Amino acid sequence: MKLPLIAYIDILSNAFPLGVGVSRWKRVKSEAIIVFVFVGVGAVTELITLFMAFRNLNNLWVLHIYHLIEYVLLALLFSRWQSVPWLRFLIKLSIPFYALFWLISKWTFEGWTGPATYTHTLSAAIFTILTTVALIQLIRSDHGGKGSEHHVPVYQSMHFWVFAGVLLYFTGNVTLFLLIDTVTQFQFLNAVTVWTLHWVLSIVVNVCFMVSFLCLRRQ
Amino acid sequence: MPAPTVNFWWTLLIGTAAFLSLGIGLVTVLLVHERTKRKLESEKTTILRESERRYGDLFNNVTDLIYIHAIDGTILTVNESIAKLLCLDGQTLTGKSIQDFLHPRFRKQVETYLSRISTGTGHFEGRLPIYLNGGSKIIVIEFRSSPVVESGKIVAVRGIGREITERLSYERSMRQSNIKLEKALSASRTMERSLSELSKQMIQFQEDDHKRISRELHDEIGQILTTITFNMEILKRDLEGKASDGILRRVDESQSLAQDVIESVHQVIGELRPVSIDELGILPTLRKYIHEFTERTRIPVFFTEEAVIEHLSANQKISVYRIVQEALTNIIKHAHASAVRITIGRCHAGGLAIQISDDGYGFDPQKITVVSPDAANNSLRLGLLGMRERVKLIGGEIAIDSTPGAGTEINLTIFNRREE
Repeated sequence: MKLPLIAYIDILSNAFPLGVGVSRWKRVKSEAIIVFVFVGVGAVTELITLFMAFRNLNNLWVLHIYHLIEYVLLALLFSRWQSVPWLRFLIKLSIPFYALFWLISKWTFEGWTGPATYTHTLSAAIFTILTTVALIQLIRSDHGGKGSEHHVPVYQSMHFWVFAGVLLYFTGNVTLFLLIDTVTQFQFLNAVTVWTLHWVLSIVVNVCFMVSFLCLRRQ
Repeated sequence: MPAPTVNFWWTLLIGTAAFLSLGIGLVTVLLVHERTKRKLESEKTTILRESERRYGDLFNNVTDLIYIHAIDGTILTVNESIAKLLCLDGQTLTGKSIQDFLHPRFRKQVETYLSRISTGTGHFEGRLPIYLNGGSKIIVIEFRSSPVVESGKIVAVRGIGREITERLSYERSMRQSNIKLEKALSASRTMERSLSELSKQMIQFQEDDHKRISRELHDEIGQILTTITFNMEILKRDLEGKASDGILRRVDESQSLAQDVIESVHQVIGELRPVSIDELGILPTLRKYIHEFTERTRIPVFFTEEAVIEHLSANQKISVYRIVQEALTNIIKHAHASAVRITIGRCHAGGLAIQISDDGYGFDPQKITVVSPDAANNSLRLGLLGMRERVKLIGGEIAIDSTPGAGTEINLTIFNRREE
């Protein structure tokens, strides 16, 4: 099985935000830790799935678990950065509901060995909406979400880069996630060609997360 | 295994493009908005800095004293003027208390001021003495303070002041000068009243004297002369046919001389105190005098009577007569006029208005106000002074209008019952 170079670049790009996070570890506090963990889990998942793919093992169940962790971590992060109380509560409340939906889907219509068409598409849609709302809130205020830096340009704000990365990732991937069932039926070469979009978007997200860690200020 | 169809590619492309463009668009809008906001903030900051610079210049260069202190009296900031006044650096003053610059006996006043200003009831004005150089120099500051309110709370007090030490000193000097001036004016008024009284008495004495002399001339010398004339007539009759023509001629001449002396005496009596004022009234006396003046000098006088003046008091009548007399004498001596006009009428206030005007040489009123070596000038000056004094005594006003080469006009106004 030969993967295109972009796939390896994508895996390598996980090192950018992790490396910067480690180098500025003293500044990584509170919500930044969630981002670091999220990136770390993502990197580990990619490595595991790649390893399993080389061994011709079904790695989709790993991705299912990763999707749940991804949802929980991002929901926690967004709720802590949300200044509107009812929205914050709603985001936190969505976690158990999503988890329930995820559980039901794994044991019914999606299964463990098939692609996560419905759950991942749903989380993509939810985070597209949440990041849009968060970015609009950033436009309207100087502060951005709760806990954000005060009186700094928005492009020097960690919030902005995390929201931008997440938004670009999910808006770019939502159509792909919706068509994942069809993609898994293609030949390897065709599937890999289609999946190039995902790898490119992942690299973009990692770059955004790297910049977000660079925006961390001395406490 | 199926290959991706065209529809698949289109669906993926359009779906991805649609959603991705939403994301990219939102991020781009945010960045553009941020850039615009930064630009506006930068402009506002530039304007603010410029305002701060201008305010700073004004704050430090204005001569007034500007200060900001805390509600407990601790100085927060002062401008250069205060620092210069207290001969201290502005930074040194910051942190000190107002009380440090006052004498202990003013502590209570400052406490009252601080408690009043901290209640926020508007501004507070006042004056305070500031002790400098350990109390060796005292300056007085007039100030006006008002509270600085933020979020409904008084956070500081700001104010403006001015040193008024010199001004107070000037005011004190002015007050003392005014007192001295008042005293001098009072003394001057007293002297003026005394002089006026003296002048009145002198004029009165003069009139009484004139009256006495006139009476004596009339009663004694006049009578004697009349007797001499009568005796000469009798002598002439007795000597007719008995004495020579030469003796009779001598007697005639002596009689004629005696007659001339009688006429001269009558004229002098008339000049001194015309008795006809009391017997016939002021108007007939004036007419007679004017007629004699015209006969004597050949200067026509046009006399117009538009009002009755017999109701005037005796003093007023004689004063009017003397003024006309003096005016006509001046016309003969100085004016060399060809005609004179005298008008008696009513004035707007119900009093009498008498105007005497001529077409003579005229004079410069400024030049005759002071004593000069020119005897004619002095004579005119004294004559006019005499007229003014008489007018004042009878409660009237006189205005003398003259221009060299354009004649003279004297306007006399006598008000009812205003004799002094």
